[in-house]
Amino acid sequence: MRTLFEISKTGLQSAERSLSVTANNIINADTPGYSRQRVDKEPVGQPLRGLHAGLGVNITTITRLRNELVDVQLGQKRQEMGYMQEKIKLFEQLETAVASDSGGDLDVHIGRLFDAFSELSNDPQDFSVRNNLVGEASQLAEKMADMKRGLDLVSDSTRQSVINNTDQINSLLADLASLNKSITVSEAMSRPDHASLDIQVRKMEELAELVDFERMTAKNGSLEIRIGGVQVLHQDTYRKIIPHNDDVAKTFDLRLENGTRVSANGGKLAAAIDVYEQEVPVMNQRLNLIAETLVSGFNALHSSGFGLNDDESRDFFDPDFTMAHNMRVNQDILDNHSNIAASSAAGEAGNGEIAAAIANLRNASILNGRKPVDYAVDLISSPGAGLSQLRVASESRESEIRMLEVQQEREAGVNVDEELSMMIQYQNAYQGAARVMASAQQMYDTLLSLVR
Amino acid sequence: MRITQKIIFDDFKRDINRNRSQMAGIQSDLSSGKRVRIPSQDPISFQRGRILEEDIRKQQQYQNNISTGLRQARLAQEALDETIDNLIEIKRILTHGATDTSREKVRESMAQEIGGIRDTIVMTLNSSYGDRYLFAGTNSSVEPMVFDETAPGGVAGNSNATAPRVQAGDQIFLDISVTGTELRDTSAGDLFAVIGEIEQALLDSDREALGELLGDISEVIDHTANAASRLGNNINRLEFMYEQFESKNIVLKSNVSELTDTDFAKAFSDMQRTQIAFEAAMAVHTQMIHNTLLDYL
Repeated sequence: MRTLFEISKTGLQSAERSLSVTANNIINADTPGYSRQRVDKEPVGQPLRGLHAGLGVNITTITRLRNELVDVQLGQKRQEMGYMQEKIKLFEQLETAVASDSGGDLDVHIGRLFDAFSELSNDPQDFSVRNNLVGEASQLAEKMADMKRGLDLVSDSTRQSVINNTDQINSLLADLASLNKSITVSEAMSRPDHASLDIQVRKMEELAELVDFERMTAKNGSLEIRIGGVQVLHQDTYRKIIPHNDDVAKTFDLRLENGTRVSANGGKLAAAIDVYEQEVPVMNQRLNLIAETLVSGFNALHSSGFGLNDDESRDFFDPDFTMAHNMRVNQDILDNHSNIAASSAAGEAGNGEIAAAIANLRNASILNGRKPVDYAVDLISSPGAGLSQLRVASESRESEIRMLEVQQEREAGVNVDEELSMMIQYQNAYQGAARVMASAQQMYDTLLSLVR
Repeated sequence: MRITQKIIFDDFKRDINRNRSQMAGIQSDLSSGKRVRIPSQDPISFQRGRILEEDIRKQQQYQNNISTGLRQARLAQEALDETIDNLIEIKRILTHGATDTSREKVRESMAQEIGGIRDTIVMTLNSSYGDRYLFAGTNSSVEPMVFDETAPGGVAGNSNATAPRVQAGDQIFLDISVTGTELRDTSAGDLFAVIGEIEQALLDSDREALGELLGDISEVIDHTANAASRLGNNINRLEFMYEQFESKNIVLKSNVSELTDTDFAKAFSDMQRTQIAFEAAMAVHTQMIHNTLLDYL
């Protein structure tokens, strides 16, 4: 008789446990990194008076369903995606710094200055033409300085982004280290800590976006991580990555506290470092090349010409400032517009030969074999060109990630309908077990009433 | 195959986002009228468009140069025409003075008349465009013709031999006036010297000299007419080039438009297609979310 109570008790217990697992699944259906769990049961029995009688049900394990292989694949794709997304973000900033849809870009300013010189060659004595020319030249210089400032801002925000990314990596490594601790402890008691494993999955996803790494899981369940071949996480200890920055030479050097060099090969971190060390300095160089070439090209012609008032030779741009951020019109010319040398001969007010020669520089291939305006157009559209390629590539990468995510979701994801039907199933099981218990109770009552 | 709620919702969110960003793109294409506004939208079209725009800008500047040149050249031509008329008037007076019938008294007044005409010619050749004297060559800040008793014909020249010119195209420069130096340098000698000689011969009543001078003044007229017709040629060329640039610009502008402007018909049909997909996604999703056991429990 007592076995009836035992059996129904195990039934009640198992139904309750199963229901709690299902409840947990439903509640976590939308939790990132969560993997659904299933209850594994087996019947209990023992020989009894020559028979082998069942003694109820026993819950053996609670299984966590997840395809680790897909996670590894996803990690790789996420790392590539993180790299591209960070580059896209930074390239967008670069594009905004150099190109606009209003049309007032560098190419237009250069073209307008040539126009002003051409206009001057028609009518070298007209002061309104001279005033306009000085205005255009000053605007061009201002535009160059403005672009340079824009590029500097991007450089700064990229630098900050490298530092932020390393900070994030460090804090993720710290989290993973403490997760390692609880995972190994519960593994040792052969009671797997599913919650910690799920959190580990999420942390690894975040880490994968930031940097390229190798992962290994030891027998005791602890995770080991190497970045660029250098071990940064082992058991419950992690090693901090410290970014050493040289803002003049535009370099980053990632090192551990003990001085070991770490190289980041993928993810957002590598993208930010690439842009900081390569793309922005190259843009700066090209911008400076434009400034330098225009200053020297204009000055060479201008200094061979003559202004309206005297036969002194003057530079058009101040020859001491040949960089994008500091190029400026010669003070002598700003002070007196008649000092613009349009003439090829002293004292000939109507001679516009030099102005025409300067205007003709627009047709000269003086910038790496390209005309000034063409070169400027090439410069301002170079981030955009990179951007459009990256966008195409990231779109296909995104759909690859989505496919893998769906694969994982099929394995590990929670289907609420499925869980609800199981909930009813467990509810029924509970009711059945309770019924058995009630019947047993009645049987006892009947027996006891005989005694009374 | 297990399909979880998360797959359905994520797919929906992804698709709806894609549709929305497509529609936003088409919307700004339509409202701005431009398909390529920044390089990343189509780097190659952007670059080609901008380089073509530089060509347009350059040509428009050449057109500006031509317009400025034409204004000056037309003024110069008018001045030359007036000068020719005046020279013909001198020839007419000279012809009269060379005949036997004219008396000394008449010749004297003729000489005075010619002196007046000379002054008019000087004034005409000193005409200016803004601050620029048209017949001074590139030395155009000073009057080209100045009265000076010691100079030949009583008129000194400040002009140099370089004619002012405008750039009307890559490597194409056209003179927009004739220099005073060239104008005066006729095969019969200096223009004003010839006029001075005529004046003197009339005062002297030297019939023989007057007869000889008839040939000289004819040569002077030919010389001036020649210069005027050369200038006329340049004016014609400038006008022709202006028209050429005008039609080239139309072609270039339509090229830029093809590269960077919105194809409205295409944009509208794309808009409709995307809109239908968007609405379908919305409709099917609102249906889908009801398909759950929750509603039946």
